[in-house]
Amino acid sequence: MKNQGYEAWTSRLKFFNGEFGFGPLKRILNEDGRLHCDNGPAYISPTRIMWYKNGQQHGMDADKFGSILYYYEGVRIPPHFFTKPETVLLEEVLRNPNTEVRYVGMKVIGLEKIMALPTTKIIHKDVDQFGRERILFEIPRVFTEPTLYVKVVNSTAEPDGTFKNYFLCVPPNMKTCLEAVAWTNYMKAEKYQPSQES
Amino acid sequence: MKNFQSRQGDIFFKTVAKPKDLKEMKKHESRILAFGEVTGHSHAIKAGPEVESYVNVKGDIYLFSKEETVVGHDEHSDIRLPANSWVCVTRQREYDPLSAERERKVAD
Repeated sequence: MKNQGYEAWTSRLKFFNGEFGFGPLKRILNEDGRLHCDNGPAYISPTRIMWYKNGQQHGMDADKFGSILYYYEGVRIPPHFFTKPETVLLEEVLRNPNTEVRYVGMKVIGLEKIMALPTTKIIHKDVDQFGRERILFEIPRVFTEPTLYVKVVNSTAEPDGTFKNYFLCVPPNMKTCLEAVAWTNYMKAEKYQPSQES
Repeated sequence: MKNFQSRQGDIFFKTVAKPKDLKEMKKHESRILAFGEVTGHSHAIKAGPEVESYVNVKGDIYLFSKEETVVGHDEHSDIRLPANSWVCVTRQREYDPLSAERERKVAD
């Protein structure tokens, strides 16, 4: 019987060797001087190939000796988080003993999906001065401190006329959507009054 | 000082008093206020009046112009900054439980 896992592994390694090649040392930096590349590895050394965004390791990390590891924002994650993200379940993520893996797993599942789960606690809901809905919610059991996100709607329409939702992680002591959104812009809730948002 | 606040995508503009530490800041020579690394689009001052521009160590930009200044972006409507006012330009942040600073700038 063929060992399909072994074949897949050797084929991926061959792909890395052919596509990028190990070394000479190549480092791609962003404007802040941090390792960053959106569409390929940002770090290629004589022994390793690594992917980074804004200085944080993500994606795949291949080495000359055949190991292929998976990372997301610098956190080593189980391979199926990357290869089959649609199969990742919240219960499985929350059972992981590593808080960083739990945090990443939550992002892999998707915050839109997590927000709708019965285990997610809605802390506050409102409508901003431009008529757009905001939701502040808490995802339990990720860290010892509460993990809070505020959902906001983009002010600018997509080409198809719809408006995209955005999720911003905010400090655990936030009580209202206004306070959370103001914090993301270095403001206190009582002073946050933008006259225009685009 | 006229109270003005406005947001264009992940960039926030607000009028402030003239910064006291202006001499410690660097001159910001570019008309680009923020570059979207993910989208490739920039928030930039459109051609027009002369604008004094400084940047502090945190990357916040302070602008001053005697005339109204227009900031454009490919995907967002223009923002008109008031004349004769100092305007502080900041990039939106989010809480980051995994970093030592506990926050990071939002990636556009």
